[in-house]
Amino acid sequence: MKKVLATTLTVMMALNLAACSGGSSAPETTAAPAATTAAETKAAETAAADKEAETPAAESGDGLVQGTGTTLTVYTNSGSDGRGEWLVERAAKDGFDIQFIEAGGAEIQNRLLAEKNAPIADVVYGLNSIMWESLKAEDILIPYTPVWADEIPEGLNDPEGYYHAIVKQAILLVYDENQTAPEDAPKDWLDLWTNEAFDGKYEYLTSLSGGTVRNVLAGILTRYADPNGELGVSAEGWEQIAQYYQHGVPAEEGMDVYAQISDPAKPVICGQMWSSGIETRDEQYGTKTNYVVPEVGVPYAVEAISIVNGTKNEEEAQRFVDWFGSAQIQGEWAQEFSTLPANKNAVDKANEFNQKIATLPAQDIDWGLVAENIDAWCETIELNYMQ
Amino acid sequence: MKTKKISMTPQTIYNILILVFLFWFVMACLVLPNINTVWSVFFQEGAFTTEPLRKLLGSERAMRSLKNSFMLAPSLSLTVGFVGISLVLITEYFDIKGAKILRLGYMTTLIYGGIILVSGYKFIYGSNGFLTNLFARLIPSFPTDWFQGYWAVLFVMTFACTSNHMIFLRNAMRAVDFQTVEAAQNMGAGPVKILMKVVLPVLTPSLLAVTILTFITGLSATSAPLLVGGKDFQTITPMILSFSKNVGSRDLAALLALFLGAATIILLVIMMQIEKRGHYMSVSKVKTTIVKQKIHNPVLNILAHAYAYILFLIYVVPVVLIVLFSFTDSASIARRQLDLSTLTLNNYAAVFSKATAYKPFLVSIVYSTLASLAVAILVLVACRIIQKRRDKISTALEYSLLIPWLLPTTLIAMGLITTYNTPRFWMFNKVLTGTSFIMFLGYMIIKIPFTLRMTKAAFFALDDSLEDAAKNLGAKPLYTFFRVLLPVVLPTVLAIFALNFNGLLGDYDMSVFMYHPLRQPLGVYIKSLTDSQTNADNSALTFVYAVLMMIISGIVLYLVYGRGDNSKLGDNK
Repeated sequence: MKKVLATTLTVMMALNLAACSGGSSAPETTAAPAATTAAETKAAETAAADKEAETPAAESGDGLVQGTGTTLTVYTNSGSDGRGEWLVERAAKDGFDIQFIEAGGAEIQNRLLAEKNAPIADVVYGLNSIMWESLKAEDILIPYTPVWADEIPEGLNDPEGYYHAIVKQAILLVYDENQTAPEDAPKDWLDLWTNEAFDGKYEYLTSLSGGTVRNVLAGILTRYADPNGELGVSAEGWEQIAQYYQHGVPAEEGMDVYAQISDPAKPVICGQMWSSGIETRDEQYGTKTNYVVPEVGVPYAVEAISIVNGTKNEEEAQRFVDWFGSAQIQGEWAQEFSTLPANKNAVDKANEFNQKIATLPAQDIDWGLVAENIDAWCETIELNYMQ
Repeated sequence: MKTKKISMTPQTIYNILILVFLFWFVMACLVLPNINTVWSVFFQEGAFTTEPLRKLLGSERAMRSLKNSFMLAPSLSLTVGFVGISLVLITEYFDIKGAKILRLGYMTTLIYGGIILVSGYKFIYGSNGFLTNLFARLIPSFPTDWFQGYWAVLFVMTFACTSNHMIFLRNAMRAVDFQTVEAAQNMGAGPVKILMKVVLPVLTPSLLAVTILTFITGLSATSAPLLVGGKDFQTITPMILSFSKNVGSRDLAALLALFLGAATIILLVIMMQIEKRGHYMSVSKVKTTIVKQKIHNPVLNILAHAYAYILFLIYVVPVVLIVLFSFTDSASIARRQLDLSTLTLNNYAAVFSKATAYKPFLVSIVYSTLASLAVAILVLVACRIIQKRRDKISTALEYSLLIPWLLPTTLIAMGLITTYNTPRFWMFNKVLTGTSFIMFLGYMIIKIPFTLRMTKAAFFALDDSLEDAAKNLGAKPLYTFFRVLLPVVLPTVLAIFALNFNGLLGDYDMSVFMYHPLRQPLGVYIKSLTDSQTNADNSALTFVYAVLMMIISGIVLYLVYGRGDNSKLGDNK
């Protein structure tokens, strides 16, 4: 009895291994039937919903695109601070039914990659250029040119039309004017390690999965682009990175950089920060933030919006993209959450602080190079450069 | 399977069905989803590669971190073992005044952990901590950054990792038959001899099991090294976590995790051999519960009390500080300044003012309950087979169920999604991504090894004669299992349930990849609040949620474990 069972198990095990190796090579074909049925039912629903919605027309009183009520699943890393709730309510007013998945940028990216064969998301917004480029390369996105595409300043949208900018965020090196006078502050990131005065006085992050830290690294490394260098960066560039980690102080897990720079007892006087986080921190920590504007400019993280390849609600997703990126909604978004809209016609809705941020010179960064190499850069840094 | 007959009785069919189910579960949930991850370490673009290994060996930082982890694990096993045993002796064996209060204090590690716990310790010993400030005032030259590096990590983790001792070792201690102690006393054995020769041997299976857990905890130390390790004592797990989130570096994460996994497995094999050799259990049929032993030497008695209460303070003060600091703001937390006059309810008001705030709690409670329940049942069945069969099948089953210990949670989550985002034979051609089921499955999977390890220890401590007696009286195997054996292991099973529940309640690593859009779990919700772009008060919110979770965990422990304790006493009498 036991023997028989054991043999059966062995045979099944062998079969299974074969099935497994076969399975991974041909998932598409097997995936088809179930996906189609699901798609069909959804399509039928959408069609029905479309019919109802067509009569009130795509434009309403205030010129906004109207949704049909088909449920859209939206992935974002920018749904906190009540943004998600606000968006669900605001979108409902214009006929959209939105549900959310909200997580860090890296997690959203990983999740989209893992779900490639059976996407759950219809629309993604937020993230940054680096992530958008990588998603595009992985065939996760489909192109769509929203009605507001030409209201965005040049260079922010994807030229091939896969993603379009909605919000701009400057990535800054910040310090507290109460602790450090502007003339004593660094003038550029490179000052941090080339000028002895800042030795041990700036913070670096030990986790490299965040969007901000990756923009900082891209801002430094792309200055030393060299097709023949290691991972597209010259030896000098890597030397700079080595110095950056040698002379800095690692960030403390769970402690905000403002806890460091606002405290006179702590040696750290500056660190990285994204522009929209500054105002609330000034209130919280009683700091008077000033930021460094290097001659080469500051990196901008551009949050964008795109439609997910494999969505079963493509038309509704397009309507949502048209709606969300419009000057009207982006203006409201900016007033509500003090963001800096990418849409030219909405910039005047941004608050004074963001108006000022908008005037900072943008650093010229080769995002293609960054997207291609950033993962490898981070790996090398973690293995060989971080202390 | 001593009484097995080769005929298709319902019992045999039932046994086969269970085996088939377990085989399916192991293949579909443990082997298949993870095989590709492991494969990708050694085979890239179709060819065998040593590239990941070369990269790691070439990295001074990786090697140093790995060395640190392997240094921490054995030393932690020793220190935690020592403290853990003393906690159990203080609360259950010796007659120490105020043992009940002491026990509550020692059990605080059951309701909190990770970053929050270490932050609590930093309030006391860190650079601006209370003790540090006190020392600095007494000795002007006192280095304020003294609490850093290997010793600091070892100190924090020694006290943070005694949870398993407080539950499993304590359960074992309560199962010690007092008659054996009395008999030894009558034969003139001294207290030390009784402790070493009579009491400790009965604790051995549990002690082995919790020591393995401590070793694994030491290998995978994360929060303590991050917060108090300083530049000189960083461990490997933070690196694994960060690589596992970077798509291009997953091979490195898997390889490093396999390193740790291999070490764990080697240790487990050794422990399993020890377990097989010895058959430690108390043999009495009519057990008497232990009577607390007075320490007759007055000096020793005072010393024991002092030791007990110092431990109590070490355990309790961090919790108290976390609760107090949850009523302050991020700036005060950062500066570790506690001003009683500035305590405010604002944080809690902010949390509860949102109409939707309760929902993630509900989602996580439901998921954690279901997953902990399912894993308890699955492992009970598996343990029964492992204990009864003792053949190749049961060995294969046991090792297969330990697979989740080999890989970090993020990679297990990724494996599950990428495997079941298309219909597969092994999942009855059902696509799992996007369903509410997949997260339940994920939760279950990551809790299997721990549950197995501890449940097995309980099974091995079972008295075989109980089962024989039931059989002789004509009880069917199922009846024997449910009415005779289960009640005896139930306190342990319930305790594991509570621990799993508490562990899953705030889970982020698994949830973030699997949660259904309409069912956001607590861990993801907290992370989104505290990571938020414009909210600067995130550390205060982290504390508030930590306190709220402590409350839930405390309630669960009381309901499940506290009462399980009593019923156990009732059953045994």
